[in-house]
Amino acid sequence: MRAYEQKIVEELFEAVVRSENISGKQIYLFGAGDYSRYMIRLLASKGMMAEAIIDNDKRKQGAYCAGCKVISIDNIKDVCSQNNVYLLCSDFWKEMKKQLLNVGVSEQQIFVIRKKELSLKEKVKDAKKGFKVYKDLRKQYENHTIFLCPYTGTGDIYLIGTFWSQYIERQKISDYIFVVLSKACGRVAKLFPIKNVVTLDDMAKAKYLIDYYLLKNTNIDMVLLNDGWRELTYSHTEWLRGYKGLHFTQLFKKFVFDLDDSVRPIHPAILECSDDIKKLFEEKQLIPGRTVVLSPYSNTLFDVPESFWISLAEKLRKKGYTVCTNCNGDKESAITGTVGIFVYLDKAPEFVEYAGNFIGIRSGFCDIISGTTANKAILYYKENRFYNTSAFDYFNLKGMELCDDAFEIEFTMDDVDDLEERLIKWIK
Amino acid sequence: MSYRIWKNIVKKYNISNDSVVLILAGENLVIDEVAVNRLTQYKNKRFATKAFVILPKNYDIEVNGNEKLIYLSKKKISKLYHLYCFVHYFDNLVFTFINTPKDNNLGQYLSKSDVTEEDIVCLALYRLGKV
Repeated sequence: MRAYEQKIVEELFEAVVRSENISGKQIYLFGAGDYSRYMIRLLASKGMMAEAIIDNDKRKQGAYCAGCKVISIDNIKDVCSQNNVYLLCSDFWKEMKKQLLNVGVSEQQIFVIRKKELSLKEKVKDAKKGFKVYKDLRKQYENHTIFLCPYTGTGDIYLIGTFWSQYIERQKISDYIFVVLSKACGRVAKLFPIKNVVTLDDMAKAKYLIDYYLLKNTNIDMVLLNDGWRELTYSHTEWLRGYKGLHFTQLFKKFVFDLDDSVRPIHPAILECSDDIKKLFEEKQLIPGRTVVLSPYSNTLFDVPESFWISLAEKLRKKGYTVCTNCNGDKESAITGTVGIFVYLDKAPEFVEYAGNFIGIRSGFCDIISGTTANKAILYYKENRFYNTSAFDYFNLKGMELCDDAFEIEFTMDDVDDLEERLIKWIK
Repeated sequence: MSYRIWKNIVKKYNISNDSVVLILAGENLVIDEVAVNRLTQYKNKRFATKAFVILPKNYDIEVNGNEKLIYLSKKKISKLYHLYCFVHYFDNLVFTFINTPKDNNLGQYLSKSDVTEEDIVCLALYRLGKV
């Protein structure tokens, strides 16, 4: 979910909270995915919790999304109870609403929290803003091909980086700019020999730029480096993700870069540990080669209870390791009993290499450190689906051809204790 | 201009929110045939009651259901599609273009993977969630 979308959803959510009495009610969300995950965060900020997330996909039912159980609509005992409210924040809200109305839920119980579609006039206005963004880029880089990465996932940028040299060489493109949407993405791009990395200072600018691109019927010298994006009304390929072996790396390799199956991703060289990192280790009293970096946060996948991390950290310390948490101080806090560390992503590989050990829930950070020789354990919540497959099948580092030395484990909430034991046995 | 074409169709055929509209590109006959055959499933998924198929004039394709057929020139269909790529002007609308505009990769999925026309129609175009 993009920042400008979050802003709109947050405003709509605030409006619902202000004008309707939803506190004290049983709140149900509809559709297990990014939007519901964000809604759970918004509800929590108001001291509220969702009862469950309804999803029609049987493969998702029974799983958890951001700690909230995913259920079938049939699992709700009294679906029409006046004590229930239904918050719909999804591209499919119209179908969801009809489904709820069909089972007898009243209009008053349903709240749609979704940005409205822009009119033709509004889109043209945005495209004009996009033309200005385009002109500004052109002013600085005349006759350069514009490559736009229209997302903020750092793992995506890393994957692109691993194919970049091979792609550019085959396409015989030497003059280009590589446009990303966040500073974090820019830092990941810097790990690779990618020229002219431009970070747009406002994510909405990327949207405007794409509006201009579409107004021109894609006939401008710009390439979207993406395997499917729902905001492009004609792009349907995201719905094939994970189907018949179409996994992350394969999709980028085949369909974004048009490369042969035999081409393999190439990691950037791991730099010798810089003085900054060494100093950080000294300051935080971390032991090089005997430090475990915990990475408990992920934007896209499911959560493991904090108690698991606290207990794991304690056992690691008993084994003689120093333990730190990779966290961004604002939104993510260090696991109790560990040192909170924030390193810029372009420093992450050398940091983890120097630490020697990494245990993390699968996130973009795992892609970035996948080329290190550190011991790496990557955790996947077993019930977590990603489009047509499991998150493990889609994102495992071995399948993605990023590394084959990581200890990649699927777990369920019921076997978290067993998971801890396996990790303690694994780390030597 | 393109928007006027759409508005005229909506007015003439009384297309509303309880309608689904399938527009055949004529790019790939099999995709178009599957899309026609599976249209009822899409209609049900969208809780719609009426279905329309817009297709190129003289297009040699069999359509046997209860759908209302609307014939348009290929040029007009392209215009409608171009506009749709820019602005999402109707919810229950599906085009069967798989190679245009330039970053529509569905055609490549057919040629470079095990994905079939059925898969493309059911999972990607209609988003039925299963084949």
